[in-house]
Amino acid sequence: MQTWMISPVELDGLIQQWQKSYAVYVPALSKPATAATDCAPGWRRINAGEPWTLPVGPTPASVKSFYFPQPEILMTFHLEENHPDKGVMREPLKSHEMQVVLGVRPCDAASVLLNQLPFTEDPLFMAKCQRTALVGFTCTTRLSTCFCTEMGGSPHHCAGLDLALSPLQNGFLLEVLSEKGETLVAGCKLVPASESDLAVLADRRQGQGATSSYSSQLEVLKACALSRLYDAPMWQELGEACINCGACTFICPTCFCFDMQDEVVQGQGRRIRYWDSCMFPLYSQHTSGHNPRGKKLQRTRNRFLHKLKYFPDRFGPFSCVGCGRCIGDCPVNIDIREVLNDLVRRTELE
Amino acid sequence: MNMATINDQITDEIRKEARRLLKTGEVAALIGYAAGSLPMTVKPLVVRCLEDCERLVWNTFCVLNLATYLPEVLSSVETPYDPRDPRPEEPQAKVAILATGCWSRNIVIQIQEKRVDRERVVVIGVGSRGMVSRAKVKALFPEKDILTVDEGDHELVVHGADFTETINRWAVVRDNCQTCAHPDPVLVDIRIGEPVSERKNPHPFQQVELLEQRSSEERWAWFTAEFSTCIRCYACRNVCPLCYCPTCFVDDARPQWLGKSLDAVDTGLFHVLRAFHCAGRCTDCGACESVCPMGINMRMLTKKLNKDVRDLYGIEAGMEPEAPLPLTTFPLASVEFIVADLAPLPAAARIVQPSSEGDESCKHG
Amino acid sequence: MSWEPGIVVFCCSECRCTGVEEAAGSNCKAPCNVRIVRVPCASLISEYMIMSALRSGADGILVAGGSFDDCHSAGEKVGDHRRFVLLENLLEFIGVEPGRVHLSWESASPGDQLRVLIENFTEEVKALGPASKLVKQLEPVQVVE
Repeated sequence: MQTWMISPVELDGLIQQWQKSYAVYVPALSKPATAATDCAPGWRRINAGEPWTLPVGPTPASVKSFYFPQPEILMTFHLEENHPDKGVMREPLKSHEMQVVLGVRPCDAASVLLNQLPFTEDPLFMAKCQRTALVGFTCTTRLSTCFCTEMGGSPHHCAGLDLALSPLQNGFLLEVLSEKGETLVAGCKLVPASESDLAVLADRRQGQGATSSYSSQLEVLKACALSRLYDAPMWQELGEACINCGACTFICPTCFCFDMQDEVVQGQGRRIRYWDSCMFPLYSQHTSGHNPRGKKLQRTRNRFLHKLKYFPDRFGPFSCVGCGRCIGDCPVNIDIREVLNDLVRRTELE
Repeated sequence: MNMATINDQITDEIRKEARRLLKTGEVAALIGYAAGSLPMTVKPLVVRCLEDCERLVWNTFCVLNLATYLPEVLSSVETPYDPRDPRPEEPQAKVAILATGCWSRNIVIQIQEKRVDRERVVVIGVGSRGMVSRAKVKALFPEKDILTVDEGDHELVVHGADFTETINRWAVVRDNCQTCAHPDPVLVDIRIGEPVSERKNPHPFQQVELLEQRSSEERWAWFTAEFSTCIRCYACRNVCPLCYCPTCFVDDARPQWLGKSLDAVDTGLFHVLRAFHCAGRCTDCGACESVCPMGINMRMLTKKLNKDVRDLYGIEAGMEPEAPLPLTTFPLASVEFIVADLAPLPAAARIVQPSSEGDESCKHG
Repeated sequence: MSWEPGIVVFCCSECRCTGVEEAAGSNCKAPCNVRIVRVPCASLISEYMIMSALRSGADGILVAGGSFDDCHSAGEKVGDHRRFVLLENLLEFIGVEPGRVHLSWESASPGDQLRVLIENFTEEVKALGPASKLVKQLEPVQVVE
């Protein structure tokens, strides 16, 4: 792993160089003028020399949709009577070209690693991991909704990134973290970072790392019997206030539930995989008509227990990176930090 | 802000009233608001015990329509009974609910649509001074993290880590509150605070009219751009007190009317149909727009329908519990007025007076 | 070859479709790209059916209900008439061409009149050109052969 010092001008040059060979995406800060977008919602492709800005704190949209498109076409088929291909399912041609996502925050980078746990055997998801290079910027500002440190992350972490840029007084420290990262800086004349610059970075990482509450809360919840958390009285109040919209699940970088469907328009068809939300009644509806999570309370509880109990029980870490998007956007101000604290308090009440 | 503001006084009165109602057993539950965890947010709260009364708050950020919760809370306090048995006949427990002008009009609609039994609802009326749009305040401080917002009667003091600024409250009040003509509840059992007088607004539909004047292509461009960022989270639908179908049309599988993913046509149709279902019932409470995580101005569609309902049928939704619903109940005598032509009729002919004779009216739906 | 619009006609079988049968019987030149959907009463036509036809690529949608005088469920129809007027206005508001969706709430008419109505409507839609707004289209996808 190498660390270089790069000035803003050099960075612009580097980006322009990427644009010659790859599609480069940056956070979209305003509404598109038309509905036509050729990439993940909330992001836009920039051409050489096009200006862009990085918002303070997490980007408006997470990087989830680069890996887990809404929708993903799995198969295509034809139902027209005279079509030579009638009834044959064909796989769409996959692109292997590298795409560069610029302006990723450490929380989102961590979310990609978390999502790889359940998707490790999913060829579509993993193929996109292969072809997507994440170029991230560590955070110098912590918003009031940010809680990455409580979730085992840090504003200065770079896990999951291919290139990490840490802003310093006169430029950025550029860390090359993977083979994809190497490819991106190959052939560039860069100045190695000085000892003092490296010391600044090390200092930052020392100062603001994961808080100790993370591992203790994780362990406490893992050790606690599910029934104890499941029957907590707090769900009553949460479930009553929740309106069961899918805002939290769709803006969440680590929510990955999906459904599949055949869509047919005038004889042309496609099998798609699209985002689903555990907040929707249809999510758990059985063919028989029975719904094991037919009540609002059950659905609200499922979302939080999945993130804070089921997922850690199965894969290890919490399924949350602390980006705080759901806290800011929840219509009824359900705050996952409060839910976590309430759950931990519940385990302590014996 | 040392002096108690109007909303502080209202908060005190609400708590006092809540304690009284729950103590005397007059109501089994009260629907109100608790403080939120972020600046400019509140949480809907159903109070069932005396201790929780202290958590109730009233401020200028109460943007959700509490009527949305009413039917569910009402059924939660009913005596449990086997669904195969007839409903118990004894009088059921009551529920109190805070209501401003538009929320009370939604309660009126719930009564008209027989979702709520008037006898079981205690409406605690609070005149609305206009609720503040969090998005508008945030837009004034781009790239800044707002840490606290202190509320005065006419100004807001916004604090961040490195700034403190005082802004005019009315300038950041939501659009729907700014054009609202009925800020005071139309249905009141217990009044809190001073009544707010009706507002005379010469141009309640100005935004709609401006768009109407533009060309068809321009309007289409507006529509496609406005709804292009929709993520189909359905917050606008779920927060709306008018939306209560057990299975929404977007979830219908046989036939499936709309695709499920982010296709511009499907998203557009969802918004058109959602708005259309609110025709003649929408009180312009603005909850849909306030909760949208993408900041989509879907109120423009319902506002257009409100305008047409007013212009064509002379009706404002939810003003009178006894009045028939404009699109489902109407006197047959009015038929010939509207059959004649699809073109708008002279204003006088369009006003359809509800008939007093029951047998002349038809109901459907 | 000149372009012929695809037309969907929702038609009340009690009051209007008598006309359709006559039209079919009299060998009329009702264009073959007109699809007639018969419903027992115009009030059964829902906004979903209209929007679904639009989404599926119909260039023109004609809703033909009968008059209120001889309708067996008059009240229902009045309500729906009120709603459809709002829907028509709303579609126009969002920029769908006026005339794409047309409501005809006229008195029961012999076959010729319905045929004339459909033919006139077809001509009007022809002038509008093919529908593109709110029409669902699947982007072509390159596939593995």
